[in-house]
Amino acid sequence: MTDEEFTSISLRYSDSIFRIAFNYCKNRADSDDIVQNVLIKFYKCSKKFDSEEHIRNWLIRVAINESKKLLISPFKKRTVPIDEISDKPAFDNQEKSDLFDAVMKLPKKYRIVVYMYYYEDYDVSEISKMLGVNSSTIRTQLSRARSSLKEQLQEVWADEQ
Amino acid sequence: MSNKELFRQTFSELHASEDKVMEVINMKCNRKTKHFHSKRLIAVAACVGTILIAGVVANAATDGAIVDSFITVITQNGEEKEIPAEVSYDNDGRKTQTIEYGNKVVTVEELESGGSGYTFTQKDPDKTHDSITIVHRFENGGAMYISGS
Repeated sequence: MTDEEFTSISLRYSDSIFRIAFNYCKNRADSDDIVQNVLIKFYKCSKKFDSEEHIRNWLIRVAINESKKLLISPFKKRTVPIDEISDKPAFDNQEKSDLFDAVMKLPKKYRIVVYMYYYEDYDVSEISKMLGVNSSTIRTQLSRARSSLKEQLQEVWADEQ
Repeated sequence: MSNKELFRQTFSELHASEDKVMEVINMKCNRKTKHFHSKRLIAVAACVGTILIAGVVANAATDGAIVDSFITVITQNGEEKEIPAEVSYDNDGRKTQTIEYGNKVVTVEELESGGSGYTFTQKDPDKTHDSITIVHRFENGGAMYISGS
């Protein structure tokens, strides 16, 4: 991989990696550390990638693993109640702010599934493979997350099948 | 607005720190790699050191039992082999070494009267067996050959 390719991929996917990490650890500092770790791993990786999609999937999977690793580390094992999240972006409208808060209130395992589904546009079987969790479990988690979002957001969150 | 659109618009407000990303791009991992290797080397060296120290301490604690726990056997074709022995001590602190070689179990035990007692037994009496010779070395460099069948 040339330096130009590395730079281009880093700039293109750093935000995605950051969002995955943020969904796990809910703070900017740890998420930025995870972005750096993932990019370093990518640079050192000698794996042959078949396509751009392959690179994206690899980066997301490594971001998930790095986030999980950070959370199980004894130094980072802590919970952050929603009120203490100081890293919330400044939203230009209330709906987005409410949705952000509602997602952050979901249990961690639901947050990542919801993010992968609604933002990264992965389907249930792809999420299942990436997280190493059964498809039916992902379907259940997605459904429970939707119910919780609906309950919190009322008409802002549309009913889905 | 659909749920997906709202979700996308909301989470697209989250961005990685440009400085942090540029830091990795500019450094191109060179420094990290060297640091990683030196850290790994130090860790391996520390492990090897710990194992060596533990071995020496364990050997001293067992009064040399670990190093001394080999019995020299002379095989049928005249070859000398060092066989690791199981070492145990009785209530009076006398040492017993046991080895298994071929179809034989050889026990060397320190006697109350001084010197050593040698016992040769068959593991499986129905099997054919060859005689066996073990070497008892003295501190003055001499050796005694004890055969059993």
